[in-house]
Amino acid sequence: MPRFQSVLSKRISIAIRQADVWLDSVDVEALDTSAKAMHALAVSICRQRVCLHKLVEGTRRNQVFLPNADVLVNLSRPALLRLMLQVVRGRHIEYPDEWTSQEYAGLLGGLALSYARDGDLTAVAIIVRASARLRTREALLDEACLFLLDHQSESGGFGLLAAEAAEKGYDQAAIGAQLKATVDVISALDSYVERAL
Amino acid sequence: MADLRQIERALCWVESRLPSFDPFPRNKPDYRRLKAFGELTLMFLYLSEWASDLGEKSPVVNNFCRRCFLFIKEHCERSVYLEAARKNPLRAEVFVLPYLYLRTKGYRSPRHEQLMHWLSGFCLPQSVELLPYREWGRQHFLWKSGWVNDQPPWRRYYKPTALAMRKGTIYWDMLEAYGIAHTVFYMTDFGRLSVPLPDRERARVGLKLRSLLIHYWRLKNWDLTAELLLSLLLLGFSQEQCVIQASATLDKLLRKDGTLPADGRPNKRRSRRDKRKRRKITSVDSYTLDCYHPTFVWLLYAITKCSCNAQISVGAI
Repeated sequence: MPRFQSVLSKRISIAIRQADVWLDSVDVEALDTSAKAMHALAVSICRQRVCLHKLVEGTRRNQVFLPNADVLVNLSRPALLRLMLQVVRGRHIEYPDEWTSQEYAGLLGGLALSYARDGDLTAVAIIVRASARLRTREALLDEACLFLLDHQSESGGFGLLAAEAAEKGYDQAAIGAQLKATVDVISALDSYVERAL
Repeated sequence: MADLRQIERALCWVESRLPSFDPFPRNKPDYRRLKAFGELTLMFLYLSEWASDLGEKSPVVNNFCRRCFLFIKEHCERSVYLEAARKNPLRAEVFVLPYLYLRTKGYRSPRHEQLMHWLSGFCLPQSVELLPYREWGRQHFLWKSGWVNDQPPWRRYYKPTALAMRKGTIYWDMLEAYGIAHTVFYMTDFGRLSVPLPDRERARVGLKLRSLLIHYWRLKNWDLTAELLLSLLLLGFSQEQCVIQASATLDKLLRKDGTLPADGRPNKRRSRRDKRKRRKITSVDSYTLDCYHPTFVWLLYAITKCSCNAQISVGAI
């Protein structure tokens, strides 16, 4: 039975990875708001599962190796989100040579603000959430948190999507996208506030 | 880290392309080339200051300075050049700037001095309204050339700038990012003056620059990355890991001919077919005009870095 479990678990993770690859290949820009929200949710579930699997697979080491700055800034968005989720779930964080946690927090803060300039709420949220693990105080990360807070709509959800909703004339889709953004932002802010300094 | 050989290679490239910087090809003014010609003069000015510190260590640098000086002088003295300034006094600044940078080196031309006096009669070029950081540039070269005696009060000028006033580092566009970098260049006279800011303010400016550096590094805008790196270096942040790694990235991006691409990935990652295609559509001149600016900024960065290292090693002795 345990052998069956292990085979099954392997097959499931392969299936999830394949689904993840397929999701990567989808042209998100061409989708309507509702499908975009669905896509984001599917990606999020897949990435969490893949990370969990890697965590179990990489076993009890639970180490996450942070890359050097030139690698980090060149990561594609999906790869960056994957890495940040690993940081969120990993137990031990290893910094590249000659980097301190303070300096790395500065780098992540700069990267979060770079995505903020693109208006990418999800990427900013996950970077802030991962940065909370570094347990340092960094002005650029504080600013990234303020950016997240500034994106709370009047209704209380996160993501300023009134224009998109008005354009499509479909409120439910906007609510779906806002739900996803709200979960991302709340998790990030919660982790950041709770980080032990 | 940038070394002398890399600097020499870049200078050899500039020297081989000097004809592309002719501001009056076929005796007609070309404003894009005039801008490039002015920037060549600025780069030459700081390079020659560095070369005199370097002494006889590099014949390549010294030869380049000699040839470049003659090239600039020859073009500034052309009748078409001087007449173009007289015909268009509101844009005279672009014509007088190269001469004023030569003036810094002690060169005096009676024809240009006469032109400057004629322009001063109209309170030109000072009375033309410019973007604030361009205004800083004008104040800088009028003072640097000795045309105006007093050093501009940089600290007072700094206070109403966006760099001093705006909170946060997110809401800056690309033009403003260039503006920030130029503010630091002129305020420190490219490293010849100490930073006229208290430590706390210097740290605040450093934070903004670092945030923008990471952004344009991610976007692979190497021209702006080089400008922001130079600014961080001038403000004394050369030992930050971010600065060290971004600097190493630029060094890796330098092409074999010594140039730095303006953006995107370096040539070596392009396919041969892609390269052949580019060669066909890109003439020598437009290639030069596309990548001269990041190359000049990188050169200024490299010589400032070498000067800093020399100061550190002298201090260590």
